[in-house]
Amino acid sequence: MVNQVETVARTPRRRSGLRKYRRFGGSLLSVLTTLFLLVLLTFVIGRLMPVDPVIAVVGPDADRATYLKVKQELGLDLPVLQQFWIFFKNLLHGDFGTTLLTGRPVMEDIARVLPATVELATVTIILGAGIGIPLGVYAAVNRGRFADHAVRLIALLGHSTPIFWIGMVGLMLFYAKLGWVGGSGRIDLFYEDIVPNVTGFLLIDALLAWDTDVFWSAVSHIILPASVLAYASIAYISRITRSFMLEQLSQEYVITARAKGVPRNSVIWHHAFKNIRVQLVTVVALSYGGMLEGAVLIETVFGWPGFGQYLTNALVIGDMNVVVACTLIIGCVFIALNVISDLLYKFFDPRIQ
Amino acid sequence: MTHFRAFLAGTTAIVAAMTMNVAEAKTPQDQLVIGMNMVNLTSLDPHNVNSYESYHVIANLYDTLVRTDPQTPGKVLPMLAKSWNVLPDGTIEFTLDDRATFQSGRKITAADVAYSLQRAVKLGLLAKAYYANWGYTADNVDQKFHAKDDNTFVMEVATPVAPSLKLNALTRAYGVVLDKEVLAKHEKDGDMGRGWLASNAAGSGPFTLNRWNPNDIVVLNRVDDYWGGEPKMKRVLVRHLPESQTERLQLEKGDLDVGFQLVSADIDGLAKNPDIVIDRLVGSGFYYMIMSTKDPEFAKPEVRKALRYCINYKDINDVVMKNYGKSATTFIPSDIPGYIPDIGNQYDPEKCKQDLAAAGYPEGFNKQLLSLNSTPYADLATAIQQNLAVAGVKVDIQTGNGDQTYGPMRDRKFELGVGRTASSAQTDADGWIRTHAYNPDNTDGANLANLQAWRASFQLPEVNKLIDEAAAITDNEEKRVELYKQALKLFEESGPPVIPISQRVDPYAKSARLKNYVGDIGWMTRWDQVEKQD
Repeated sequence: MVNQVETVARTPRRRSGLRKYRRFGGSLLSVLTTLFLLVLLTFVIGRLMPVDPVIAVVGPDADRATYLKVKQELGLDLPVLQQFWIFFKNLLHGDFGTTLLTGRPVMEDIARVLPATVELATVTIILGAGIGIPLGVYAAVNRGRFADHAVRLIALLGHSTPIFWIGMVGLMLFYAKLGWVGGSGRIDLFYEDIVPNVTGFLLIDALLAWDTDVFWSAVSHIILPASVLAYASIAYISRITRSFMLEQLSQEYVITARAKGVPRNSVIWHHAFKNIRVQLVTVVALSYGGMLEGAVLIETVFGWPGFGQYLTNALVIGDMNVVVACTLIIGCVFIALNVISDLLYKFFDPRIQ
Repeated sequence: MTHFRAFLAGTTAIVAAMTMNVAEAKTPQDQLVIGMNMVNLTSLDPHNVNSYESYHVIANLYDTLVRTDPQTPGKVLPMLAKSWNVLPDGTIEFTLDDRATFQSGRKITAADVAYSLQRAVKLGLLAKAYYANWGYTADNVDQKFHAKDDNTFVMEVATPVAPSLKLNALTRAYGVVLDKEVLAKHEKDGDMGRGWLASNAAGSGPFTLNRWNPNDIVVLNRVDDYWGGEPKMKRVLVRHLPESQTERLQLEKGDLDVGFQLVSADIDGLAKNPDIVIDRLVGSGFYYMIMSTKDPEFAKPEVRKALRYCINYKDINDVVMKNYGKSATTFIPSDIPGYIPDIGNQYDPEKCKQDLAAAGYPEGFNKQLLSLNSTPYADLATAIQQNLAVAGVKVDIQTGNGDQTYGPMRDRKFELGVGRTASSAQTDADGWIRTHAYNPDNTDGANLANLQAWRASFQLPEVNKLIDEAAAITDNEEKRVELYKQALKLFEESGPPVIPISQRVDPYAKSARLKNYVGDIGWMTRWDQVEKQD
């Protein structure tokens, strides 16, 4: 009897375990299929573009024999699908190949440029979310008043002003005129190579080496591009936060709470805001992911040796090894951000568990 | 809202604290800081480079057998070779300087020189075409370039060529001397160290390559015991600055010592700054307009001649090409022996109209013009479009990237184009006229895309013959120059399909603090003697 009871009790649990594995397997399969199609499409479209990377390598004045030799060496004389197959086989072995232009391993380059952009994007999102969310809440709470209009105007300006223009004006004012911040690049040039490269994140490496001069130089260089990017983020995040909050503030539970005499701040932050955290996580995560390839204009204006510039340069000359590797990384980052968002959902909203 | 106010106050305080700590930066006294757009810096292998940016870096990692005097273009001075002797048959014997050593500490031998020049040809890359002009091929270089003894390198003749042409060529990147033993260590599958050398260095120059991150930074460290004397700067840092205005701000602020590739407006702005000096390197090559003679209209010499009168050279050079080019009238510049005054470009729109009408096109015709989509090409194309419209020639401008513009020209499938010949400096008439007028094989299959006359499907056998004859003269400079003049005259009279508009100029801005920064027209500018004033 005891055994029978155990069997009865175990069956649904085992089924639910199986279902979980099946669901996980299904998700994994769909992610891998998405990534494969992403790689295939990017590669084929890139190869069909009327851009010839060989010209970028040999220059416009090279003689034909050199041109053909380099084209053959790069494997660009093979049919597109054969090129893809070779690329894909290497990819399965974790080899992204070399850049057509410089012949260096793509992964080595990415390991250098990705931390630069991640560092910039992280400081940006801290500023963007840290300022944008409270601003959005403030605007919603003061709906129709001066503060609301002011926040909306800031958001509108942030959306409609070209970011490279804000960057250039920022450089002229805060770097050239006032001298408050550093110029282009991640650090003053003469501080290059002073602290060892441990994580690739200059702020962290400077702290690890406890070199305050290098740290402050890095801070002075990151603060302006991060603020300019954050301005655009603040515009977006504050607008979304405002609309989420307005929706919550008009709900009956808020009105009830207020009617029962719950203090205003408590209603705003402990009742209404608590309910928009889940949605905000998605907004902030997408905004963060978008900065990886979207910060290219700011990277150009500020001479920031980052991922966006790396990808754009490769696109211009048709260096598909680099383009596909970068596309894959962006795809993976978005998937990772989705997973993190899911985890945070569960943390913020016990119902999802 | 107390939380919010507290948050705002906190944020402001943090930002203020961060910015307060920023010191006013000036470049250190013992480091040279340079800004440039590095997108064309794609390799550091001296035998596979073709850009202004790569040449500048290579010039400081390596030494050449001989060098040019930056002040007197064309004058050849000793470097690794302390002397040289031209034998009656044109063979050149170089005697190496005993003091010269590689950065590895090993003494430089004639075998290293022979290996380096053999490699330039055998790799079959960009340097190969350079040596092919003088008959050197992968099959004959082992015999033609050899070491007589440890200290004497011999360069034998393959086809008769004036020794001065070879000496000039050896001052450029394709003439550097590589450390044979270091390369042997890094050789893979017989690649002569090519894979490794693309991002490393094996030379004897005043600086070593500490780091090169493409499109980011190049760091060069001083060789303290450099055989030619200790360089003044401890480090040279070159940063990728793709945006000209940012570069200008950095120069004005004193965070950069030298800035390359600035746009015209920024050069004009910097020229007013007393702390900045603008230098202009008058380089090799022209900004040109090219007509394909495969086109039925451009096939007629009278049409080509007529259109040449339509272009307002002075206005284009004063306005569009300001800071990018220097007025040019014919294919040999005024400071090169072989130049003929009063020949070539002339502006006369009325004559243009009349001659075009006389050629059978009183209403003009429609043509497509290819141009790069960048400054100053697109502006040059627009100016030409306006000029030709006077004679009824309607030009449709197609802008694109390098491949879209130069691709059809290389394939000889275009009507009209603007471009720039982009070789490093030529101090001899040969290079100038050869690039634009020489075409030994006018078939599509010849693929001589480095010759503008071939691109235009244009061939004058008499001109080819004169150029070949001139280059073969080894003992009479006057006669050689005279033959180039004859070739130039013939080419000009034929209604050339290529029209030179401006001679290339590469301006750069430098801090007034710098001493001994002398730009080299061959792009081999050395940084070892540069100093800074307090």
